[in-house]
Amino acid sequence: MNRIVTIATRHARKGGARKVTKLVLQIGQMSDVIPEALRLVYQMCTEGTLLEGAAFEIESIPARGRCGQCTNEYNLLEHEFKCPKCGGEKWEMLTGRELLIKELEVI
Amino acid sequence: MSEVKRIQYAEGVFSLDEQQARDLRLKFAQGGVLVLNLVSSPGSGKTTLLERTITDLSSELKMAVIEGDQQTSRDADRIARTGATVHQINTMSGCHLDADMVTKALEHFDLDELDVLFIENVGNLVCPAAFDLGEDFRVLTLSVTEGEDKPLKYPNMFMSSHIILVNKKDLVETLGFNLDECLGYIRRINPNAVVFDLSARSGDGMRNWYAWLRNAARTKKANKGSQAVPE
Repeated sequence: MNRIVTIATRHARKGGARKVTKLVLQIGQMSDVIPEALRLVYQMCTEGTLLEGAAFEIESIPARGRCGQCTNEYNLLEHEFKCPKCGGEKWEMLTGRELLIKELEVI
Repeated sequence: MSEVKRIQYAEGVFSLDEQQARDLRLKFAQGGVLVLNLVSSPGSGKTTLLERTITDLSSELKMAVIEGDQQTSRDADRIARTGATVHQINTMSGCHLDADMVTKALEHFDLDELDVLFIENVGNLVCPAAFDLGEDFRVLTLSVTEGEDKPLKYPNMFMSSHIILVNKKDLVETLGFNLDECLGYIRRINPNAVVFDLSARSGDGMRNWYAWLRNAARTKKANKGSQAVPE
C-alpha cells in the first residue's frame, strides 16, 4: 500500500494537484494481492498524504485464459489450468495478473 | 474554484521496484555474475542444497550467498562453514526480499571476484513471486514432502520460475510420492521450466543441476560487461 501511495502522490504532484479525491486500482485475481487487506490499511497509509480522505475503488480482474487446444476461454484458477471443455492443459493467460493504479481524481 | 480532474493511466504498483531491479541487473551484467533467486516453501532444503553445491563446486566456481530469513543468522552460519562469503538479511515481519534490500546487501560483496551469487529468499511460495531481484534465473525448490499438487496451489510462483528442483528424491518411496503426477502439474503450469529431480542430502541427481549451473555461469561470464541482459 505504501508503494501505491508513493506512486499516486508523485503523479498527483506532477499534475499540480492539491488533493486526490479518488483512487482506482485494478487488481487481478492472480496478483497475490488481497483487496480486503488493502482496504484495511488504506486509511492508515494515506493519513497525512495528498490521498487522505480520497475515495478508494478496486476493480477485480478475473484470471482468464484461452485453451491452446480448442481456444475455449475459461477461468484458470477455477479449473486448475485445465480446459473444462476439451481437457487441454495448454493455455495462454489473457487477464488476471494486473496490479495497476488505473485512475486518480484530483483537485 | 477547484475543478475535479481525472488522471487516467496504468502504472504498475511495483514500478519503483522494477527500476531498482533493472539497475541491479545491469550491475550483475557488468560483473559477469550469474545471479539466482532461490525460492520455495520453508523447509524445502534450499540451504542444504546450497551447502552441498558450494562444497562440491568450490574448486571450479567462486560463489557467494545472500541469505533472507525473518529472524536468526542460522542459515548464514551454515553457509559460512562452507567457506563462501555470505550476508544475512533479516526481514523481521517481512515475508520476502526486495530489490532495495539486495542493493544494500551488495556492499558486502565484490562482484568482480564472483562467478555466482545465490540469493536465498524467505521461505514462502506467495509474496516472493512478485519481487524481481535482478536475477538471471528464479530457481524454485519443491520438496517431495510437500505433496504433488503444489504447482496448482501456488501457480504464480511456478509460472515465474525458470528452474524447478524437485528435492528430497530419496524420500519418494517412503512417502509414496507420485513423481510423474507432480511433473505433469509442473508442465501444466509452466511448460518452459527446466526441471531436475534430485536429493541434496544423498547427492542423487545433483550432477545434472551442476552441469546446468556450470554452463549458465560460463555463459554469463562470457558476456561480462554486455548491456544485453536476458529478459
